[in-house]
Amino acid sequence: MASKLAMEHMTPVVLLTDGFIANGSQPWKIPSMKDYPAIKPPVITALDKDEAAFMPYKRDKERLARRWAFPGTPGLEHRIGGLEKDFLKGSVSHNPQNHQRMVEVRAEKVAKVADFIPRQEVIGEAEGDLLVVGWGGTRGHLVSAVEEMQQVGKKVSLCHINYINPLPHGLDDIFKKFKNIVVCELNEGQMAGYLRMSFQEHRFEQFNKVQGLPFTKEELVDRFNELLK
Amino acid sequence: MSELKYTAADFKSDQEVKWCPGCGDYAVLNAVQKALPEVAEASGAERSSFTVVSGIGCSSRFPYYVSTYGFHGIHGRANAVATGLKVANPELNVIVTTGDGDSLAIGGNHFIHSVRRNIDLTVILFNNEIYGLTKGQYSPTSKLGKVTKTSPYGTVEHPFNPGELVIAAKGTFFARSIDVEVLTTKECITAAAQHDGMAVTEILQNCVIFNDKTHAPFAADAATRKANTIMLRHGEKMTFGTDNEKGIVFEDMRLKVVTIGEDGYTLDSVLTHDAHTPDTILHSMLAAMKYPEYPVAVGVIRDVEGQVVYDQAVEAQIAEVQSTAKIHNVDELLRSGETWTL
Ligand code: SF4
Repeated sequence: MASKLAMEHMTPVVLLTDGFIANGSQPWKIPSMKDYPAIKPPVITALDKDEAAFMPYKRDKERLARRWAFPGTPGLEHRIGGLEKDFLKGSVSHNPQNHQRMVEVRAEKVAKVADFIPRQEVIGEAEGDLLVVGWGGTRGHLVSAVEEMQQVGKKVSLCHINYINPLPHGLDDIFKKFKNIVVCELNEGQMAGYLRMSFQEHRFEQFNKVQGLPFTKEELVDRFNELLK
Repeated sequence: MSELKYTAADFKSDQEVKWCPGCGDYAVLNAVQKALPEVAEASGAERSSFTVVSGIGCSSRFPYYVSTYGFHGIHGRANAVATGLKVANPELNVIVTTGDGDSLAIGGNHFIHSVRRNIDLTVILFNNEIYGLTKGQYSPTSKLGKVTKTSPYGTVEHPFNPGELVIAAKGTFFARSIDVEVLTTKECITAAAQHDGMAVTEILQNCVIFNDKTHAPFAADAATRKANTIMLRHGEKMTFGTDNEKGIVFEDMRLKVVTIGEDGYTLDSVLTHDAHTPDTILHSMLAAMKYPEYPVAVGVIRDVEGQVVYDQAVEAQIAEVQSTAKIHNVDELLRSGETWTL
């Protein structure tokens, strides 16, 4: 998915992983490549019909992605690099208005990725007393703790986030349906801070641990019970 | 010239060139734009097959000004980006423009390893012995004792000589020119682009703002250059001087400057340049020659063919393994170990 997003949206993608994912093991069904979605990068080998000269920074409407002309393709020679570029022509631009426009379009391009990633789902009931929010390699422990509480009738659900920027669609609707939200992270609370910035109308409790060890189910259950009091 | 498919104008982009007035980079751009039509002609290459990759620095703005594919890359990583490009598509003619700060400091490792690997890149190393873009800090080629903003009492470290570095890493091509010597630069770049393997051309370039006249003692004007530099050409005698009266001889395991016709030295005693020998010793000595004891060597100092070229070897290896491998795709790879179904 990281490769698909990077190539189809023409944007850098940072793929996060952690020690728990790297070192954990369990049997899993090997997928077949034919079940994977195809990656269709916007590679071009000729000018668009309405294009007299190549406009390397022209973008498609859906994704705002530039087209990708590989070096070696006749007629599509162009230059890319870190200096700000003209909105269409792609030549170096020192124009302040152009810079603002480019910064905005790049941010919008990243925001649009949310239209192409799965809508956020909840593990458990869609509403309840406590929503546990997690991300990354804590998933297994969070699922176990939440399921244990559900089995004894507690109204606890899990929202495990797989995409950080942009966040998936649907989070606001999920947050609204719970009395309490706790963000569990093996750090000092970066995701909690980010969610507070992005969803100012919701209140986020935190549960953090930074010991180089995973959460244990017991400590999670204890913390959740405290929050349910 | 009119018979060539391309002219220098075909390699000029419409981008406004932004270097300080009087910067040596203009002359290098001019020389490269003159060299590329000849390179294209000799190899039958299309303009679109040329790609210019750079790092960061004044010289790294270069790709914007050449009307072909260009990638203004990451500081120190021009050689790494270019390596990826060349290995992905060995058909491309990949030119790297980089500086002494970019390729010898932050990019030092990328640089020596791409030389060692002998990847077929044409690297133009602009050596102005200073960080120009960031306004005058000393670089890995600044002379010992150089006073700069970051060495207010003079540097206390020895500079790299890029030629010695390339040759010590068993580089297969090293040439050197001076920015104002457009024809020499063009000759070097044309030879470099046709070389099979990594070809480094060092350009002694003047940064008029932050390190003006650093090469001037031997390069200030045509007469000074004639007296104090030596143009090396394969198969030709190593002579130089105002009246071509001097020569280089090898004596007591060292190079020595002599006057032809004096002290028993004749033209026969003068060395003949062999750029093609794989042996590195003499090439390294020639690259190391420092003014004022020696003339500064320019031209193609080393040009050795027939060595393993990385991108070609990778391509051949992929073809060979593909023809014999049992695994042909990711599905087969994932099922090639011990797998079972529960
Ligand atoms: S700072 Fe020096 S190297 Fe850079 S453009 Fe100006 S003169 Fe040239």
